[in-house]
Amino acid sequence: MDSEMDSGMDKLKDLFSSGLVVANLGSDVFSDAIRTQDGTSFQVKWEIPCRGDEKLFSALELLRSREIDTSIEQANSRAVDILNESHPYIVGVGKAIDDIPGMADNLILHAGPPVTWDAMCGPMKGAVMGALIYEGFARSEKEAAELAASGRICFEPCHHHGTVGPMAGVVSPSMPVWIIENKTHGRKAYCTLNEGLGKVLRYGAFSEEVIARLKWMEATLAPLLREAIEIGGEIDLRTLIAQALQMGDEGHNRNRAGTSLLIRELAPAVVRSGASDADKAEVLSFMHSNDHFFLNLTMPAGKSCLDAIAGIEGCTVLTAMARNGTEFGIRVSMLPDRWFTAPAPRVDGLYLGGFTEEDANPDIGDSTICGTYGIGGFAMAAAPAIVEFVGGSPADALRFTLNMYEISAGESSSFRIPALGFRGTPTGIDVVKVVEKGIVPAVNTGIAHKDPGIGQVGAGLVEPPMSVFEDAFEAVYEHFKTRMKEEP
Amino acid sequence: MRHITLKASTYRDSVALMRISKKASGLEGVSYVMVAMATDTNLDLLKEAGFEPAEFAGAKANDLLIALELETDSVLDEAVDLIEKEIEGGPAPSGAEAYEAAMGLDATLKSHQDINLVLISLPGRYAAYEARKALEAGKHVMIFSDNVTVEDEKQLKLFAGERGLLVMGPDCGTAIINGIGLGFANEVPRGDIGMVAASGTGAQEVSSILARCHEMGISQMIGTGGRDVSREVGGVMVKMGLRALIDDAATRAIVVVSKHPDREIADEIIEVARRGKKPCIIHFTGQADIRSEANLTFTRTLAGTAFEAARGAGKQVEGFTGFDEDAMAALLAAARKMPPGRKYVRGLFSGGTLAQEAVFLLSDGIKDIHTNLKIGDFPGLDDPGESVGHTIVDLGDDTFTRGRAHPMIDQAYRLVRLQRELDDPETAVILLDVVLGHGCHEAPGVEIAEALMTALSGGEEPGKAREPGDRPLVIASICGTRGDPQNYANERRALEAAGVYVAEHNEGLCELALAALEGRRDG
Amino acid sequence: MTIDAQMASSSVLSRLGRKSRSGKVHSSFTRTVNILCQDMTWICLHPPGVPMHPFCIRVKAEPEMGECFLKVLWSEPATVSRNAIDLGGRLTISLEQAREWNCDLDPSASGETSLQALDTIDTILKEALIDSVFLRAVAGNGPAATANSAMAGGTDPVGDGEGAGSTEKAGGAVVGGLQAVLAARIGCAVDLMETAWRLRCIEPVLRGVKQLVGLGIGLTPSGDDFLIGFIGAAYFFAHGDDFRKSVFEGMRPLVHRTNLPSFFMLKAALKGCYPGPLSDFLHAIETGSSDGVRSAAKCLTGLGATSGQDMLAGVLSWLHVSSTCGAADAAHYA
Repeated sequence: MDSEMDSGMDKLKDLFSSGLVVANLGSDVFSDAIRTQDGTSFQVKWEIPCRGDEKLFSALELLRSREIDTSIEQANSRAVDILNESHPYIVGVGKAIDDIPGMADNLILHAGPPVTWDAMCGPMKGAVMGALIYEGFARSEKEAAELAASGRICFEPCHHHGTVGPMAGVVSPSMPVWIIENKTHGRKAYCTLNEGLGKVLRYGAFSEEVIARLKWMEATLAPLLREAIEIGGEIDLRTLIAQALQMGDEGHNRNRAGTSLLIRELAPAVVRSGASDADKAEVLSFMHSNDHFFLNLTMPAGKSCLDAIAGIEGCTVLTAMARNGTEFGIRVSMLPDRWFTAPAPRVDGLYLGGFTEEDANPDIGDSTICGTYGIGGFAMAAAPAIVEFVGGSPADALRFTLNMYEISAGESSSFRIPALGFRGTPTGIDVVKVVEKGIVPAVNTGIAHKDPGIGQVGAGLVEPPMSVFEDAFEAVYEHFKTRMKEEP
Repeated sequence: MRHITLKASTYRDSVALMRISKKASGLEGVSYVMVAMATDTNLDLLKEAGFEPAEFAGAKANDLLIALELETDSVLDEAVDLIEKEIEGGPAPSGAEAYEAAMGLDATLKSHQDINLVLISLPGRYAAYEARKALEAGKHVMIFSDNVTVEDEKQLKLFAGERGLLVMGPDCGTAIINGIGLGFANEVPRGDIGMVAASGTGAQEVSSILARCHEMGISQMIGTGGRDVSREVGGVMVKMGLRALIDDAATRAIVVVSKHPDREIADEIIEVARRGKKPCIIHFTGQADIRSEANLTFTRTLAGTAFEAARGAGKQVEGFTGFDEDAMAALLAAARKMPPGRKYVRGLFSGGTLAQEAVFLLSDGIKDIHTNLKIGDFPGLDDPGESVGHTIVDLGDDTFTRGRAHPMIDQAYRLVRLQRELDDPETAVILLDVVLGHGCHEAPGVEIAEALMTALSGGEEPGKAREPGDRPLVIASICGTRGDPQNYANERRALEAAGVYVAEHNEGLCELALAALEGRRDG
Repeated sequence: MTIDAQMASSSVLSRLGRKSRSGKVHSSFTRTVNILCQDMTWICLHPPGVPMHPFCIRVKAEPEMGECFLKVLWSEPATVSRNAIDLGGRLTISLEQAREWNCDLDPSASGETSLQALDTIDTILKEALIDSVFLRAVAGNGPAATANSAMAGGTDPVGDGEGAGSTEKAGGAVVGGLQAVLAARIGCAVDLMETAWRLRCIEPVLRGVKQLVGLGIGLTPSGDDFLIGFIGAAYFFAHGDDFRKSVFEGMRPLVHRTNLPSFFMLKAALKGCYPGPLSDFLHAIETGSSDGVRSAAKCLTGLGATSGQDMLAGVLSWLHVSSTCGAADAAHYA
């Protein structure tokens, strides 16, 4: 008893013997009063937890009760450790049907949570039809639409197959795919090769030029890249992403530095490959002309790491945020089999010439995997150049990232932000914190035209629907409630 | 279509606002733009013009309001964009300060590791929640808020006790740590008297008398909240604070101030103090029956506590009266002149402990004091809003503060009540406490003085002015120091100018009141 | 960096003692830094060119003044004493050499206002570009118009009917639109105040005031500026009038219904302290020379965006009150 009290007195002795430094929560009158007495007080921003929702707050109080809170804390910090230990490499270029687990001849993968043909949005339908034409299953738009609706084609989310896809994210059996391996945990992830900007399949365009480009990618680009990696060896993606972040990328909407770094890695091997000079030149200039070539590598890099934290008991960190253009969905580590979804939100953004908000499709794509992984929107502060593109200032970029620390379980040990004194990016979105603080993850994204066949019309910011986080939060709460009953 | 944009706490100079509004009105399809401050009047105007009240719910007078009326909806984004850009174009908080201002508790604690105390004034339920987080981060906590449940308080204090952390509060109005006043604290010099207080105004009264009358200072003043000494909470923090001060080399004498503790808890507190050997002056309001011993002195009044504390810390002090002899003489003369119908005392207190002390001290001379304080056998008030016979009300009680600021900050209700007592032909003496210090009303005494002068001159109906002799006596005490942000001398002068008899402290106030009533009977 | 103050309002100086007080920067603009001290002392720093007012401290012109003011961060701590004002440790305003500017309006006027002054003001209005809804309401378009124009000799003070056109647009193009509601509200409130004052009924005057405090556009809402003009004219021309005193008394608790900068200006106005151009204008009307009124009016209308115009409207409104006798039914307002 006495020794316990003695140790107690230390904390008070410390208080009495050092300067008083106060964090003030509530009326700033008190902060002001402390400052007028030459004391130090930091006024803390406070908002009503759970946006004032009584029911959620009651649940939060339970989750924050000591025992549960500790177990969540432990599980989440383990998840952050796993993410930080993860080390993704490019290990090769393969073909969807040969490499993606569970891929089938009549299976089309798509972005986001599960969706049926009927419920698919315009660009998603466009991309599916394009893929069917590309595969030779259909010759025209009409045939493709009929086939898609016939039930003979199956649709499943990329996420169920270790795969991610930007925008529509459509993957069909003969498409070439990057193969990424998280060497620390032996997890593989896959993603198609980036087609470039403008009219492209991922935005739902399927004109002849789109199909022709896909064919060229299959016939020329993919084999050459495969050979180049065989010659040059596996490429350390974690280091590339980390470097790109120091060079003004955030890995989602800006990939100019990453693409350049990748070309630097690949170029010698491309030159040493057996392909014709014309092909080599075309491949190099194709990559060069497409600033987003690297996006299709940051995404599966994130996927290969996040899959390693799926299914940790008591872990409330997100393993995926994804949109199929109809719905926005998230998955939580401790509830690995569930999607929590809500209608996909509209994107608040800037439009390419001639297009307006009227033309925009709701938010779409798996690329939010970047934010989930601690880059993308979470690393905005590293990429002041892109905020302009979404109508903000460099200060906004810093604010975006700083805000995300509030809802993250930890910080990245690899990805660091120069403007924040090389602080690690906020990593591991904690769904409990999201609901507690009422802050949704920052997402920046491209905007697809709502009709099939047109392509990209703009880019901007998206506010994910709070309800998906609230639903997940309630499921987490139910889980712990049940657990408490089981272990009295 | 109509659209509203609100910018919280935004000021731009009028020329800039006009420019913004002109620019936006110039857009094709915009029929009217109003850029204005969100005053109640303007919000009413919006309602009248058919804007949806939900769109501007919660707006305050310092928020900037932009109301748009559009002929074509499509121009909305353009107009809002333009306006936002124009507004943002002005000065925005820049640099590190802006980011710091945007940080929540977790982030603030993380980026300022040297923070050692978290001060919380939030709605009760959330106060407990955030306090728990602060304790888990290893920080001492002061909870100014009330409405925290006993269960929460107990849990927080047990948790903190195990870790040697302070939980001051809930409902802890004041504390002084390392010379810095927290909450409603008076400007008191540093010195060698340590205090543990389960009562806010009690602590303010003792510390400011020490500073103002005895020129003594405070080493630390640890607040605990009044409920700490209840059986449920068990005096955890009073005992802990006491131990800390016993250990503290900078503290020579210790004061414990508390409203009526649970008997068992009182014994425990006394036991800790006894073992501590340092001179310890203990004041349990309303419990005068404990005998002093060795290093322990028990006091009956707050002023007496301050006196004993000064002596305990080695200062040679003479006893001093709580009022000026001239004031007493004038008071008695005026009391004799009062018509016989005036016979009751009415105390309108903003400080709970001061009200309580007044009830106990006055009960020496008068019977049947009605009060809304739940103490002893004193009769209650069916309606605390109505005085009955002799009445002492604590205006800081929940019934009065629900939805309203505490009377130490906002005296609106006290002034209404004051008017009513002045108008009551049975009122003989009105008692007021004027509490100064950080966080308190910026000039409570001046405000009371203005109200009294207006009232006594007949206010809006000059015909109502009474005969000079036919008015109640007003007695006030000022709880504060000369260093307080309010001007002590000025407060006192204003009150005296308005005909108020000003006592040195609450005890003096009670003595004057009793004397005035005696004087009435004699006359 | 240290800048010298050239001139400081007497009401600010009288509040500053030797002991320094702390406060914080309430807001800062290119030509203004507002400081709020903990004891509710309100101080506004301005460069030369901004007219003096009851809270004004005028600092010496420095190159890049605007930049310098804008560097003062909002909410940053300020320390204020009789000698100097320190802003966040980076900018200091020395008060050592500041001359005192007396902000008290000397109410020694005769109480007689000349109709000639009203005529001059009419002419000025004809020439002026009117931005203020208040001025329109008072000058000839509000419900108060009939009484006003009768008093002013039946002329439409704006002359070209431009004002009338806009009200119609407001009322017509957007039915029940914000502008129309605003104009109507101003009209009613001003009408109520004017008539009730004439009838010397205190309660409806205060009702009118209540409708005007915090009403309308601008950092200091137009309604407040109007009231300052009205209060100023009443204080000046009807200083000894007990009714005026009671109205001022009754207004005191109403002025908090607005934002801080405006609240302080209203509070000062009730105490008899006004912006320089307003005091000058009132003196000019008293003297009655048409050139004098003209140049003073020009000075006044140059204040803020519409603030000066709104104050002018307030003065005008009070002149209407004082130069006509009420014809309305007293019972209606009681």
